Amino acid sequence: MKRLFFFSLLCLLNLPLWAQKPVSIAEQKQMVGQIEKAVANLKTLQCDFRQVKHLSLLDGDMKSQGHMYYKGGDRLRWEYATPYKYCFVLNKDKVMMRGANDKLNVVDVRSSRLFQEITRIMMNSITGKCLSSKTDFSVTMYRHDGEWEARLVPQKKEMKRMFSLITLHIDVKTKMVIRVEMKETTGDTTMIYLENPRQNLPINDNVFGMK
Amino acid sequence: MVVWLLVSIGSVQAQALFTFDDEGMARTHLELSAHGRDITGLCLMRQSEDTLRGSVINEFGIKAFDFTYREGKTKLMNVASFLNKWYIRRTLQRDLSFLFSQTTSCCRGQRSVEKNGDTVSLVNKRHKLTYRFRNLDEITE
Repeated sequence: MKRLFFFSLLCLLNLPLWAQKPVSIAEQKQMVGQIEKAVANLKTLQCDFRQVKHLSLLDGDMKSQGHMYYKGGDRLRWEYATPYKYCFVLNKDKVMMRGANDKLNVVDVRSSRLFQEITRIMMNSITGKCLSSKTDFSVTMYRHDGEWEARLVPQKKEMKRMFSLITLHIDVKTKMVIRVEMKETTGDTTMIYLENPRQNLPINDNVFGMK
Repeated sequence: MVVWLLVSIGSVQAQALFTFDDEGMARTHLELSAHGRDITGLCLMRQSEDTLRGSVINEFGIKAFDFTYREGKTKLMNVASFLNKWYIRRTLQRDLSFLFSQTTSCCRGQRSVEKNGDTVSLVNKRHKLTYRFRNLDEITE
């Protein structure tokens, strides 16, 4: 009876370790390959998003909601609707931002290396393209019920200062990112839930402009 | 008794300017105007007995800095690299200390505070800085 008890306890204690075991290198390569294939077929994507930022110092959350549009690999519109209005548009080499004060800021991405990095990583994180970029992140894949998990550890200095870990949760059926989890070096975490995704529907180019 | 009263005054004063919910949290939109340029973000604060704790982040949630205000002094932590210069930190600390020590609109030396509806403005005339805090509505699910 005692042996059974201790054996059960050992199994239970080890359970979290089993759940967190990464897949083999060969399997990871296969999974990343499938994601890359899905991304290659992705011409447009639009979805709603919910963002929850947990602030460690305050032990409190900041919740926001909005809409995202993606087209052609070089255009992204990320728009917060509540509780504040903020819009970020990346259109090829231009970044446009408009906040609640209604003032438009336009930045040429080519003028700032940091901006180039940030916009590239944003685009690649939403689609999952970042999984094959060895210079940006070291990637480890995990398999859970109904989803894959990609844990990305930043490799470059600027990103390393800000983030300790970025986790992409990927739907097994569609191979699309459904949740992004970002752990900051300050102890804060941000969760972004991508909801109601609509793939390859026409998106007017006007969506990626701001006047 | 007197010491306890003085220590508790700091927390009461911030509550007079900002709206805290039942959980002791205040969520505001923050606009900082500096030398003709505007930066926007959010300022979130939590009130406890004798300490006001806060985080300033941008709309994406990227941290600008954390702060605590206690016994009349503001301390900054986790300051983003682009703000992490001693003269910027000193200005922010002094401006926020002034702001949180006020209960109503006032003007003293180079700084002034004005409360207008749900907007609180802090002006640092010497450095030409204006901070505008405006309450955010909570998302109800």
